[in-house]
Amino acid sequence: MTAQNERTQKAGRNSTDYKFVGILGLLLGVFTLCVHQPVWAATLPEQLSLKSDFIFKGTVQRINASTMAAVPATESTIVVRVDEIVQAKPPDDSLRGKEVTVVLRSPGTVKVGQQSIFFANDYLAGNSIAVTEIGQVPDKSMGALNIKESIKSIVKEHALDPLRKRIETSIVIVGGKVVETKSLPQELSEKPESDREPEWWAATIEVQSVYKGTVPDKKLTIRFPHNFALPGSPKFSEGQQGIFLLHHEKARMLPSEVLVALDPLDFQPFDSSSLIKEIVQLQSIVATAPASSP
Amino acid sequence: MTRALSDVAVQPAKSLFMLLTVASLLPAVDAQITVVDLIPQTWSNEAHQDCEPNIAVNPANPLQIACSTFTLDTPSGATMSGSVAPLFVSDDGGNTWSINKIIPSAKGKTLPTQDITLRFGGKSGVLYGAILRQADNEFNPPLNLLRTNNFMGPEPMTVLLTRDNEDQPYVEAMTIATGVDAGKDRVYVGHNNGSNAIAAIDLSLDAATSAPPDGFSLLPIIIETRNTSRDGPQVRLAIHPTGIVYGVFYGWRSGDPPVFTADVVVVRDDSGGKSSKPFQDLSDSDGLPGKRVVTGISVPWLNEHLKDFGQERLGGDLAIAVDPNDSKRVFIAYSDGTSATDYTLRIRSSTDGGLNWSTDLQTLSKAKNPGLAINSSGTVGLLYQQVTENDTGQRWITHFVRTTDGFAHVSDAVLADSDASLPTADTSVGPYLGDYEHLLSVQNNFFGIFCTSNEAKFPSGITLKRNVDSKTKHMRNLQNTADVPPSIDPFFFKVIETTNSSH
Repeated sequence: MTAQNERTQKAGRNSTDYKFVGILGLLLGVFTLCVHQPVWAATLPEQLSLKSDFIFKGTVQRINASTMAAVPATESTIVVRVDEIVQAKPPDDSLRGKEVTVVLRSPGTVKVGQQSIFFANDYLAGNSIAVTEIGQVPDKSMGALNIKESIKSIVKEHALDPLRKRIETSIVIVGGKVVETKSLPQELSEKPESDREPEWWAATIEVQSVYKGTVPDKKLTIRFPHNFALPGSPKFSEGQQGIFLLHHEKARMLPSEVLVALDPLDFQPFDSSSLIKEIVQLQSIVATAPASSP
Repeated sequence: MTRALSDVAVQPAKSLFMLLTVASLLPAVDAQITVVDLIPQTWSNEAHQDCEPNIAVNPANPLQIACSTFTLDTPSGATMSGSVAPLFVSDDGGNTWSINKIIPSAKGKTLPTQDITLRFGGKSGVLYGAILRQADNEFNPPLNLLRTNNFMGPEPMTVLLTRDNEDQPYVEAMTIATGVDAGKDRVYVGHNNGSNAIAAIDLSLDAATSAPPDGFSLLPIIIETRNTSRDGPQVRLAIHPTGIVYGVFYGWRSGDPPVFTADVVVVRDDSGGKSSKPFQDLSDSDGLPGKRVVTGISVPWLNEHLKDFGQERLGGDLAIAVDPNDSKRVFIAYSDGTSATDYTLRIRSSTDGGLNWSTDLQTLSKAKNPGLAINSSGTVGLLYQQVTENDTGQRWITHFVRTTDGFAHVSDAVLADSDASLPTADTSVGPYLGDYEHLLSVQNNFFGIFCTSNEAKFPSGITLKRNVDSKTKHMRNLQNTADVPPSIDPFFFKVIETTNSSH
């Protein structure tokens, strides 16, 4: 699932609720685990799930073994069957039922037949997959279910962090339609000095709604790189409609007062309207809240 | 799949008589070609524009190979999901490949790096990299020089040096064999330096073991000695086993996009950059260091996916190689032209250390991405990609050419032949196939990498690990339940000499 799809699904829901529920769930899970398995449970912070490329429930098939010739079998390598994928990048189910190699943090910490939730980072991908363990939780514990659900919530919640950051740093956010794009007159533009320097063009947006900041006119002119500079930056065309997260940036031949949308997240579909409104409102509340007393 | 080079094609090209004459002179089998798609089976869903490849082969153990392209860290994501980018690695001589994420990058970016090249030290087994690293400030992706002594391991490469305002870093490395510096890795990085964009070289004379920056200086060596508005981004280097280092660059003398007027300049350092005046051992008639091989040529700067050049962009091409048995025997490849129509790749050579140069040994119309290497037998290898046109439209033809007599005669193997319109170029990625690809030699054998459509024809054979429908030749997804759209993939190839060439 892409971040954008997640945003669409979550539109209209209070994001702080998710974070609260997710963290609470994880804490409950950890608490439950601490009661039953205090040694490993104590090493399970929220960051563990955020640092993991791949979180899965698996059954240890073989120890001192490997599924890849490029990863020699040692006392630190085990073969695990993937029973359930909790989190993967990209999220797909293609590894379910497959055997993967796990490089353990410490040899001798698992037994054949043991089921665990593995927190792991990608290592090698070839004819099979090898991952490096950064943590594991035996799956027989009462808290395992809670942990899985909590992890999913936490990961989903944090998937929105990049968008939150772009909204927070934006000067103006408007919804509208691009009615004109054109190259700049020669006095406002120089030819790029390298293939990484933008060739700036102007895009005029007919403003339909304002989410953040003030817009003095119904039409707003922004600039965007018309060439390959800034890979992934939105390239606007006439008729394009959506939500524009507009920033000030420092660059040669870019006046400081000019608004730009350079990050891939700076142009959003109208489907994200509710979500963007919520985030803007929450950030506004946080920004205007009185500072707490020491 | 492997095929004999001389089975594929022989192309002295001037007349049928010469063709037949040369064909009769060639041994029955000179070399075996193996071509392998780097995308592994578990990444069968992959469909990105994996362009601009580079390759490093460990001279001390040629089974160990590392390759790079603009490949994201997941098979199907639109941006980087994490902060380390993939390296393609093999420890069985390139027969099988894995993806190992150890290149510094940044989450959320559309490209894993903005440039990347790789090379192993000669005997150390240390892998070096030079990248333009993805960073928050995309206006100025910094140069990072990288190192790892375990390219198959999970640890990210160590950053030896970071500097802003650089372009197209191209790394070469070797281990000193004898003398007081025996065993030390010398690493050289040619690049376009600073906001003035001047040809420059970074170097370390002992790069393998110490802590960063490990011999690299904060400031590079500027090798441009003449007046220039700026230089072309390509600076290519070749190291002779004795420690002599050659460099070649475009000195842009005047002009603006879309056409610059330029000289092709070769520099040399006989002590590997150790002297107080590095890279000044070759001078020209004007008394300045740097021999101008040609002057006043046109070089196009067309930074768009050109419809009349197979969707590729153009901005010059360079390659250089030195004979490991004769430090004075040097070959260069360079391109000139004013547009996609007259863009031409040219090959020239010197037999006196760069002082005097031949006329064109080869002229290849609408060709780019040259790779040059000379093996231990003195055979010259040339890799290039050429746009041709037939009744069905434009095609990208990837060639590997060998010559034992300075291009008087050549044997030419077509490695790939693809429809130049498929897939459609991704507008968020500048290069289509790449601003460069690479060829190198280890002992008597050649190793190289190129990018092209994964649904190309491969006349010299092909090995695919990713899922493919054997009848339709379409790529298949990981579950093998549906087709995956054609995309640009990286292809490794090796040319193993099986008999000594006699001419």
